[in-house]
Amino acid sequence: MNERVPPPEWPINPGPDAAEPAPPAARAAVTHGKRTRRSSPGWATLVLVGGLIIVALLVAYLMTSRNPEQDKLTMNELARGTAPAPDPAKLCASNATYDLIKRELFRRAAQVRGSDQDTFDRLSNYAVIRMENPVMESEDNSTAAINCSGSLSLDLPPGVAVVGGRHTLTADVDYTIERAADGSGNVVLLRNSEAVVTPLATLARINQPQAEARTAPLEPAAPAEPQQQNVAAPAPANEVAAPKTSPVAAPGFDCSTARSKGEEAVCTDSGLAALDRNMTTQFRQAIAAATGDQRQLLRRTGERFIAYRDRCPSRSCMADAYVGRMREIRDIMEGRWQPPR
Amino acid sequence: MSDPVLVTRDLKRSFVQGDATIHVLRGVDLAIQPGEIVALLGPSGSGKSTLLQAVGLLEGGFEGSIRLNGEEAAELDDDGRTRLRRDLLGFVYQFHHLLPEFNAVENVVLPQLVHGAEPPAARERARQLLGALGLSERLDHRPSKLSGGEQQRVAVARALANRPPLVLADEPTGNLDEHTADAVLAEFLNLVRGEGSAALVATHNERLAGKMDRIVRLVEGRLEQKA
Repeated sequence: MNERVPPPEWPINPGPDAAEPAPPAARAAVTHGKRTRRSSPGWATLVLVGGLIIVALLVAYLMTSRNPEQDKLTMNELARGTAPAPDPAKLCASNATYDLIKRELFRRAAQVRGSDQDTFDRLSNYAVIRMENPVMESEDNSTAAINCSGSLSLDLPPGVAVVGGRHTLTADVDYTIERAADGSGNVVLLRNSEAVVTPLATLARINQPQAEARTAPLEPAAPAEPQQQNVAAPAPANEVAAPKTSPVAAPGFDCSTARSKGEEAVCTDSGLAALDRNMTTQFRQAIAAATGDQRQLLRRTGERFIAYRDRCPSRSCMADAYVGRMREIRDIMEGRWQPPR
Repeated sequence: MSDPVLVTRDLKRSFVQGDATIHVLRGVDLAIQPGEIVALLGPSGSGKSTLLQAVGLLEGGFEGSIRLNGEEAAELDDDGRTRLRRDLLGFVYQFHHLLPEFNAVENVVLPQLVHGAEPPAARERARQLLGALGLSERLDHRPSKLSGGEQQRVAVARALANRPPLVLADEPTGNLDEHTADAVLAEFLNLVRGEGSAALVATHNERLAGKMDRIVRLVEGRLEQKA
């Protein structure tokens, strides 16, 4: 923190020193200058002493004040790992740590499987990891290792699943964060992760034709409804401005602001747009009627739905995602919601 | 006679506690032939679990030689040891360690898929094993909905799913009442024999040990053998 040095106090009441004669230089200055109300040598001394104090305080201020830039890490510092140690508890819950955990899970799964390391590495880029209740358990001061625990959920990328068609794997894990021996950053040591690693090793592509067959009959059940007052329809001007947007696609959000791949897909497909509109309506009605806990759950699961939808490689996957999300909203509101298996 | 499925030579393991060094295994020599079921007897704390951990390639820090199907474990890297575990070994623990979110069939299917089996074949094999253990009506139940004996039966089926040459069992019925323990062990031994697997079964129960082909006793860190 920068601290301001208080301005020096002016010696209004000169002390005993004021009666002493000024040094020769001061005297000379006074002699050649214009004499004012008081011309005693003590007054010049006071001016000189005061000046010295000001100079001393300025020097002290400059030496202790900090340049805002000095808090920023240079790339070299980052690379060398000489950055100031972050708060250990925050490290347990940092996205960088979660990413390391995710990559370690996929690495171990590939090792257990004994093949497909590259495929697993690639898939890890598209999986989403969440950690509930991350807690710092202890810190080893001698090794700077931080021991943490938490409830981990791993959402698999669209198009792949493990035994039983599951897309989400969960486990209560312990993890230790340590500095890498080669100074390349942190490493994570995982324990009690078998409940995720073993099924993850069975990862397989979902049979897309089956998915198509499942989703095809669902679309007629989700017809485009008339616009409801609480659903924002895209303005015509925006549709013109967005060439990718089909005039028939009117989802529950403004297509002119579509950014993600998922949003763009919804904005160019009337069937998906209808699903989005229905889902948005259902969501807003649910939010209005929800208790505090339900509202929180609706929002949390909503973020996960969007992340999942935006990673869908096909239209059928997106349609599935919307249908599943509408079922999820209904289950939350009816108190029947279970964490995804 | 075919080559042993397991051979250990002068296997040692020590633990340092404060200023003291505790020598748990002081040079264990053991060979198990294919299809042979060996009881590993010893009181609590004698090192039975430590020996199984070593043979199962689950921990490091050992001295000596462990050969599984002729392959020296000490010469393998982490990936190689994982491969041996996956291809040659099945594990049954005192506590079942089933995956709680997967039902009985899925728990038995999982190791088969990891091993490269096709899903329909893996599912059929799981049903067959669980059926042989009397669980035909419990296939779709999650572990939390099964009794202790049923959970352990699923664990037995899981261990045998890939037809491993060697099954390692650490007090597999230690968590069950006597009646259930007898039943589960009998089913376990029948199944192991039927599959042609070998087994090393740690127990402190002399009566249960008497039902196996051979008994080895861990005494002061070394094995005493008894036919």
